[in-house]
Amino acid sequence: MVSSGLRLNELSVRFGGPQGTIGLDRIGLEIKPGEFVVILGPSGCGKSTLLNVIAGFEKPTSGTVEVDGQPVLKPGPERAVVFQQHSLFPWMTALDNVAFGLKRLGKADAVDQARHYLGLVGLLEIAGKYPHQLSGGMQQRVGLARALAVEPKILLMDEPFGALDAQTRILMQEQLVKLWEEWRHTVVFVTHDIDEALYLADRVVVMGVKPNSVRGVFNIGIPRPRGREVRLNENYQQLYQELFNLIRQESLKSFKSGSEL
Amino acid sequence: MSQLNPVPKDSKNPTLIGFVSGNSSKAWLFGISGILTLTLGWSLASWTIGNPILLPSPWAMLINFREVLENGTLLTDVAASLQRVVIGFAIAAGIAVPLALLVVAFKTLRYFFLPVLSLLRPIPPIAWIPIAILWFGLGERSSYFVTAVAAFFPIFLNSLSGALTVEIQHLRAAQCLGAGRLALLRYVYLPSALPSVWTGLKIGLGQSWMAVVTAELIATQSGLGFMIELNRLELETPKVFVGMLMIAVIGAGMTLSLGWLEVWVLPWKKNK
Repeated sequence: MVSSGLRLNELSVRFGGPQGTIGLDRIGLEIKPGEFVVILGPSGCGKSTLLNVIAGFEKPTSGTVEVDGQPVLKPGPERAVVFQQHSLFPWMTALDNVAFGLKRLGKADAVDQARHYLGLVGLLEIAGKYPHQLSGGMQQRVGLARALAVEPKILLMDEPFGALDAQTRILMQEQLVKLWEEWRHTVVFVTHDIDEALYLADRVVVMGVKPNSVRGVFNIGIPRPRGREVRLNENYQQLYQELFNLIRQESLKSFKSGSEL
Repeated sequence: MSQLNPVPKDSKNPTLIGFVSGNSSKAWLFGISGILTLTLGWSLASWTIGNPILLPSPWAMLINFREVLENGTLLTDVAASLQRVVIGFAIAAGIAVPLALLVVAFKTLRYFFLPVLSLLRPIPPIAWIPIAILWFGLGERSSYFVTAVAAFFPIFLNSLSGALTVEIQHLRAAQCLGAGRLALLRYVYLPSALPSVWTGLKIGLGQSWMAVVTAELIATQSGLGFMIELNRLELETPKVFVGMLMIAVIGAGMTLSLGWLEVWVLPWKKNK
């Protein structure tokens, strides 16, 4: 699998024209090929907007997104997305959902490949079921398989496990890391959960509110594979405290101004 | 421009034979009692009036039903009406569904078409009959035109409101998986709209069926509408009733069978 680097130059988004509310304020970031980067921030910091811009769903008001030096202009399979709500097509079976992108790419063996990817997330036996017949965790795994199937150079994940219960969420994280350790494709993962960030990331980018920009970049030097006992690691605990304080500061800003209430 | 008001996209649109869809024995019992009461009331009224030209009895109707069934004229008329509905309905659906999807996917088309359609919509199908005769003469093509006009708006408006409910996340998911404009229409807009399209087709078929009878009263020399009109002129009132009963039974049958087909057309809607 070929991974690509990603570069954000002075990226700004304003909602409702050049004088509108600031969604993103001059974000600059460089992501190396094969890197697992987590964007961490409180709600309202624009982290989902950032992901939407990288995906090509939203246009930046100024600045650029570049993949391997090429500017991003529209959505495409080299930047597949796993969404917060599963966003599977309800009118297609799990297998057809996974095969969808492969068919658009004109693969002759789309269905066989789709089976392979469903197998990777351990869901071969529910291939014929419709999304509403699956649990939340299964839906997200099908969503992951669907995104992986088009072999994106960069995998974009927008709080993909946010709606799941704590136990399922941990299992999903483990499965994701296992897949990623084999493939080493570039991942940009958005979350507000510090534990999730520390467990998954090579690097954590913290975003804040007012202005919605980068507050800090943390290299997570914890060696892989990381077991669940990683939380006992001294390094982990120190990073957790630092991130916690930083996020708390940012959360308080919107909390005090009441914009979250 | 004023809004087009789509028919509510609830697929359980109430029909007179709705009771059949409730499968409890109570629903059946009361439903059948209702029909028996109607027949009984009709017999009583017919007996009281005592003038078979004004109101023949159900029995007289049955005898006449057998007669036109055996001499073959009934089936000819039914076939003529059905053919007109099927063709007119198919033309309407063939235009209305793609147009609704295009109009949703392309804003410019929406701005272009919606005012025109809002303007044409209040004209009832019957009001198109004179102009249809003028353009197409008496006969088949006039009735295709009228049945198509009748079916078009229910189908178009329901498809439109269905396609407008498309979820942005589904569009985005499809786009980031490599879907172009055409694939979005075929694989996202159409299936998103399909439950409403289906409702539109059900209503449209009913409208079309009513319109064909109206058209046949005036613009054709065959079909159930023509049969009713002819027998009225000849004071064969029982046969008028036979014609009306056929219209009722076939119309109800259409609605019912489309309801049954739904599970097959919208497989992801079952087992909810």
